[in-house]
Amino acid sequence: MKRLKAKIGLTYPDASSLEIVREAGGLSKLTPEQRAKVKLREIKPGEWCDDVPKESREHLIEKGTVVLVQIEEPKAHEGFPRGQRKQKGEGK
Amino acid sequence: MSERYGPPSAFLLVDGYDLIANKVQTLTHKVTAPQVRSDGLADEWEEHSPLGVSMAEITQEGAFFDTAALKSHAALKTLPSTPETAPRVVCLGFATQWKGKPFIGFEGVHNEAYEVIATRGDLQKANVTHKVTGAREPGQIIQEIGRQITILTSSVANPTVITTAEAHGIADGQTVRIAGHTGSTPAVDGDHVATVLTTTTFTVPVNVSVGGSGGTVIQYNSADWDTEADPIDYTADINQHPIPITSSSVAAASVITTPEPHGFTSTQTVLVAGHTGSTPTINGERVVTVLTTTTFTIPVNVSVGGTGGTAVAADSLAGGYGFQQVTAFTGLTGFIGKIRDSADDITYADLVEFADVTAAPDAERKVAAGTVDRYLAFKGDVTGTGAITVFCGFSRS
Repeated sequence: MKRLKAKIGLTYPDASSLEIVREAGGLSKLTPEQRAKVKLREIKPGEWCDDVPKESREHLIEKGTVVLVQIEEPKAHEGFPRGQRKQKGEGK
Repeated sequence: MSERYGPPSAFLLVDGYDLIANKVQTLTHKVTAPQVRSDGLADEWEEHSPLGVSMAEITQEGAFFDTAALKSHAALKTLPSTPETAPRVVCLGFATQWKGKPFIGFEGVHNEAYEVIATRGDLQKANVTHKVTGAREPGQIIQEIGRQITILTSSVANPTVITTAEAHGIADGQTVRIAGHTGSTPAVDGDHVATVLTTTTFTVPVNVSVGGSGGTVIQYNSADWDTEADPIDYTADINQHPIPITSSSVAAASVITTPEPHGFTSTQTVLVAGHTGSTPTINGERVVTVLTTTTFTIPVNVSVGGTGGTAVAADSLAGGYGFQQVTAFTGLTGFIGKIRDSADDITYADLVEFADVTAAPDAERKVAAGTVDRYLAFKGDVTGTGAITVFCGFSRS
């Protein structure tokens, strides 16, 4: 699994606000009423930002502003399921 | 459209000192390319050849000699005593100190001469010449220092609507100080957080039952803010020259021909506008691949060629220089200013982060590397309770 990590500080609209910003044509095109509805996500360097708007994603990766980080999938538990302890005499 | 400016439009900031406050009479900046005589004995006419270097010089004359804190003498008295003397950070402009307007930043400035003049029948004045050791860096203003704007009226409303005589330039949520406003009940003079309605109207949280008129509003910042709602667009930078387009060719990657050298670089993004006749349209942002000085391709499969319009750079690839000048700082314990850029006006990323400021005056010039996107905005993070006035500009390389 790959995740996006910010190398520097970022700001972008959260998922619920993105459509308003897209329709307006950008943050600077918002009316005061629209702006009041928009919530922005503040990302600090080193934080995950998988929800970065898709139109910004490729450019930010290309520029090195964000990086794709390979995360190891958690391995399937090989022993007994959690909560079931091996009983005395089992497995013999 | 060209514009003309008068004396009130000039500004001069030196190491965080706002020297226009000292009533400077004359401000000049001169760039020269020194030349040497290159004719010989057999030549009939004198010849001159450029040395290949440029020099910049700034002079200001007739500022009132003032020994108060943050005034002219404090700003100008220091002359460099050793080659290692720290250079000054100077920003000046002639087309108003207003967001989006051009400014010129200077790298490596030293005062070369400081002259105090006492004349009978006149207040004492001072002249100074700044010699620039390095580049002259023109750019755009991203964050302007608050200035006084005339108020026309306050409305009967809760919250009351303040109408200004000209564009106020206030950002939504910014703190403003209203002074000298008369006739309203209750009085609206004082500090308020503004909610912007239009470029000439904003509300302040006062329930006004009788409207008033007159006075001024000045903006300053006492809480964190950013200008991402009103960024600077590089395609509208008057330092840029839109390149006319002669034609677009029929090709999978259409070849754009220009009648003059376009000056673009491969992988640079340009904004094409006003081009007609092509199928499909090529207008909009396009990444260019340069073929020659007057041709480049764009990744548009054009089946019918078009003509006309312009192309202008929408980003720059070689970094630049951020300039920050803090002219007032009271009550706060810290301030960090950042320049942020965005390619799409949706996601903004830090481009330059200035050092933590704990007192005024303060100034810093900081280098940014790599691609600088189309939109630029300023973000200010304050620590503590108080107020600050900040100027910031960015010069693209």
